[in-house]
Amino acid sequence: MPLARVFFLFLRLGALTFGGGIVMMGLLQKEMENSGRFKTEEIIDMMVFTTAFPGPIAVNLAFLAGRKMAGMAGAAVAVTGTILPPFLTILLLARLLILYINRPLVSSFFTGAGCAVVVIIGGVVWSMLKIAVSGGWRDVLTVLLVTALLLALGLHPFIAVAAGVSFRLVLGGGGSQ
Amino acid sequence: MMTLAVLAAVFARIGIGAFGGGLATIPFIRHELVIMQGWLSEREFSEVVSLAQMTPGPVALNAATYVGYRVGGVAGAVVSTAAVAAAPLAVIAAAAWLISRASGRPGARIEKMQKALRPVVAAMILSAFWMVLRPLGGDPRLWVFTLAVFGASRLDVFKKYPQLLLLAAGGAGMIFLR
Repeated sequence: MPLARVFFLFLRLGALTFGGGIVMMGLLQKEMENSGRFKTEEIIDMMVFTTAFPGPIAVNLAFLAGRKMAGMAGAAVAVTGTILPPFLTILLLARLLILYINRPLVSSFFTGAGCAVVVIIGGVVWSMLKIAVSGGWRDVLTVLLVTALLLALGLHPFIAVAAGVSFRLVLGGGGSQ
Repeated sequence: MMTLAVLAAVFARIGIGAFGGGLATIPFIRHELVIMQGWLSEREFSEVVSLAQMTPGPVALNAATYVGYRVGGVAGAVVSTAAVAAAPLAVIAAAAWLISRASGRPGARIEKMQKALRPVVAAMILSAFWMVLRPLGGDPRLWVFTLAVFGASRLDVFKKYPQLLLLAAGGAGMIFLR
């Protein structure tokens, strides 16, 4: 695939991924299937890979898909294309925000938007907890442990994540699907 | 120069900590930027989270650009954004190389890891929820307002376009929360 095409494909995806990588996954899957160059299982494998490893999903996805489309140069071009729209948007808004954040109108806008963030994250928590609880007591125990390490003890999240993953691996057994 | 090096190190850590999608990164961002570096106050932190939800791109990337710019100008923004993206890519490239050399079915191991991560990611998002909920504090106006936003969030328009909910809530905030 020519590099320019890879770049513009990911530039478009980067501009559209409000709400992060999961949204991008759906869009990219459709694009790759339509191109007819990739097997469905190849695409699914890539998606699984990105969620099991660190890093923003959108960036990882761009890297792996770009590499499949046009080698390492494709990966570089895809990552750049994905990052550019959010980077430029925030750079522009940061300048304005730093100047005007203390104006009552701007600050009350963010207070209101903050309430919407509470609602949106609350919705995600609700659906995640339903999955975790249906995964059985081992998952529930892990959720409680990690939350306590983070909120009650205030440990660095790296420690909480490492402890939680090890704890869940030691418990073994079944889990949510 | 020192500032840029610190920015690169902090955002490399945040990038590597970004497991399981945007929201699960929020505890990492808060710990590094609010508690360890003191670059953001609690109030500014929730503004950055709101801003990130309104604009394209993952939260970690948006936070990197914003805080990088505030701390180190345009160079700071470039360095921080590059660090948050490149650090985890190095981990992924190393993992892909190891897996290509490993015998047997690597898929099974990745699946096991993913299963173990799932409740951990749920806990991270639960903690993120607490972190954005706490600033509401004891202000009854904010709780009523949030309940109203929750009511509005059940409308089909907002279910389809969550960003619109943020903008509408912000607009309503300009009227009711001044």
